[in-house]
Amino acid sequence: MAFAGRVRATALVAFAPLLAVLLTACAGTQAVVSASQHLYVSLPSSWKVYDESQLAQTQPFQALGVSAAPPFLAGASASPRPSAADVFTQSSYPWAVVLAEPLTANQQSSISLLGLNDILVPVDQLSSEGIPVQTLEQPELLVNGAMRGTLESLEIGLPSPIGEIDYDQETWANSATNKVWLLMVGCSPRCFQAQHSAISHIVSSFYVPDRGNQ
Amino acid sequence: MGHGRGRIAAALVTFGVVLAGVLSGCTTSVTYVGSSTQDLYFKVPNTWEVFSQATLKENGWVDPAASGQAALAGQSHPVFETVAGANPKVARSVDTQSGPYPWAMAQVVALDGEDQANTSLAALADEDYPIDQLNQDGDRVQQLSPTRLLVDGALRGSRVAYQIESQETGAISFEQVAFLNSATDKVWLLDVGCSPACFQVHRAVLDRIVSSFVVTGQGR
Repeated sequence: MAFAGRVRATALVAFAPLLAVLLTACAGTQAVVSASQHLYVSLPSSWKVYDESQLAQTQPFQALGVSAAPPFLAGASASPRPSAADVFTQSSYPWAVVLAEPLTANQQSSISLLGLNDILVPVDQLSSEGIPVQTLEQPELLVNGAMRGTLESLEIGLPSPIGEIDYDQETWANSATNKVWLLMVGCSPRCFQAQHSAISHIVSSFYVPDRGNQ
Repeated sequence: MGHGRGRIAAALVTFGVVLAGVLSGCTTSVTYVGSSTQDLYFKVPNTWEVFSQATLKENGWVDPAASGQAALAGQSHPVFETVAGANPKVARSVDTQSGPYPWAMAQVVALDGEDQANTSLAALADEDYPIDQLNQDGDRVQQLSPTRLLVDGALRGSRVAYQIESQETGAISFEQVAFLNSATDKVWLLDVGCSPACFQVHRAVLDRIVSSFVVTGQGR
C-alpha cells in the first residue's frame, strides 16, 4: 500500500491552536484540549462532549481497542438529542473520538504506519474475519518533524449495535513510538457523505505538536 | 525488505566521501567514513582499509545495475553503500563476511511504498540479514545482546547483535545499528561483523565503530 504524502508545514501548524482559540467565540466552535497530553481539536459548539467514564458505559464503545485507563479519552456527538451511546455507531449525526494512549513495548517494536489504522478498530483483523471494510480515500502519510501519522477514510459494516459506519481517522505516533494520538470522526454512510465537509474540517483541526524525542 | 540488498550497488556512491584524517584534526587513530550527501558517517581504526566502489563492484559487494533497476521499478533500493575492512582480503568476496577479518558496511536504503507502510522497529533487524526467515527455516540464530531501541530527534532505530549460521552465509556474528526517518521512506544502517571467533576477539573495536555511527540532518 502506498501513502499519499503530506508534510505539514510546522510553522503554520504551530499557530493553528492559537488561531482556533481566538476564533472560538465568533465561529461557534469549542476546543477539546489536553495540555498534559499535548493535543487539540476544534468541534462545533453545538456538539456534546463526553468524558471517558461516560463513554465506558456505552455498549458500542466496548468494541473499541482502548486500554483500561488511557491518559486522555473523549467522545462527542452532534445529535440534537445527544447521548454518549451515539459515539461509534451508525448515527445520523456525526460523532468523534479523541484518544491519547501509550503503546506497549510489543506495540512499540512491531507497529508500522499501516498498523496505526488498527489502534482503535482492528481493521485488518475484521477484514480477515469477513467484516466488510472499504477504503473511501487513498490513505495519507503525515509528517510533522519527529511525528509521523496517517489519515484514513474507511467504511466498515459492523454488527449491531454499531452497524455500518464511515469514518475519517487521523493517527500520530512519536519518534520513540511509545505513544499515539488519535481522532476518529464518523457516522452512518449517508450522514458521512452529507457531512463530509464539516467532518474534514474537524479532522484538519486536530493538532499534536512535534516535541522532538517526546 | 530483502536479504542481499546490502550487496547491491548504489548509484550515487560517487558522492560518498572518505574523510581520512582530515576531520580528525591531529588525531590519526581513526578514519572517518561516510557521505555528506547521505547524512551519515562512522569511524574505523586507521589501520582499516576503506574499499573503492570499483573494488566492491568487481567483487560482488555492490551491484549498481540491480539497484538502478529496483529504483526504476519503484522498489526499495540502496542509494549508498560503503565497506571497510581490517584486512584487504575482506574486499575479495562477500563470503569474507564470515571470515577472520572484521568488516563494516554502511548503507542508505530508499524504501518503497509497501516497505514504508509495513516497516517497524522490529523489522529493522531483518534489513541486511533475514533473521526472521532464518528463524523460521530452522537455521541457527542466536541473539548476542538485547535489542536496544534508539531515538534521536526525528530518527528512530534499533541496535541488535546476532550470530547466524546458514548454508548460504556460513557462520557470521554481526552487530547492526539502523535508523528510520519520520516519513519512514529511508533507512540508514551500519553492520559490523566477521566469524564468531573473530567477533569475540574484536568485539570492543566493533562496538566502538557501531557507537560512532551518526546520521546527521535528522533524517530529512
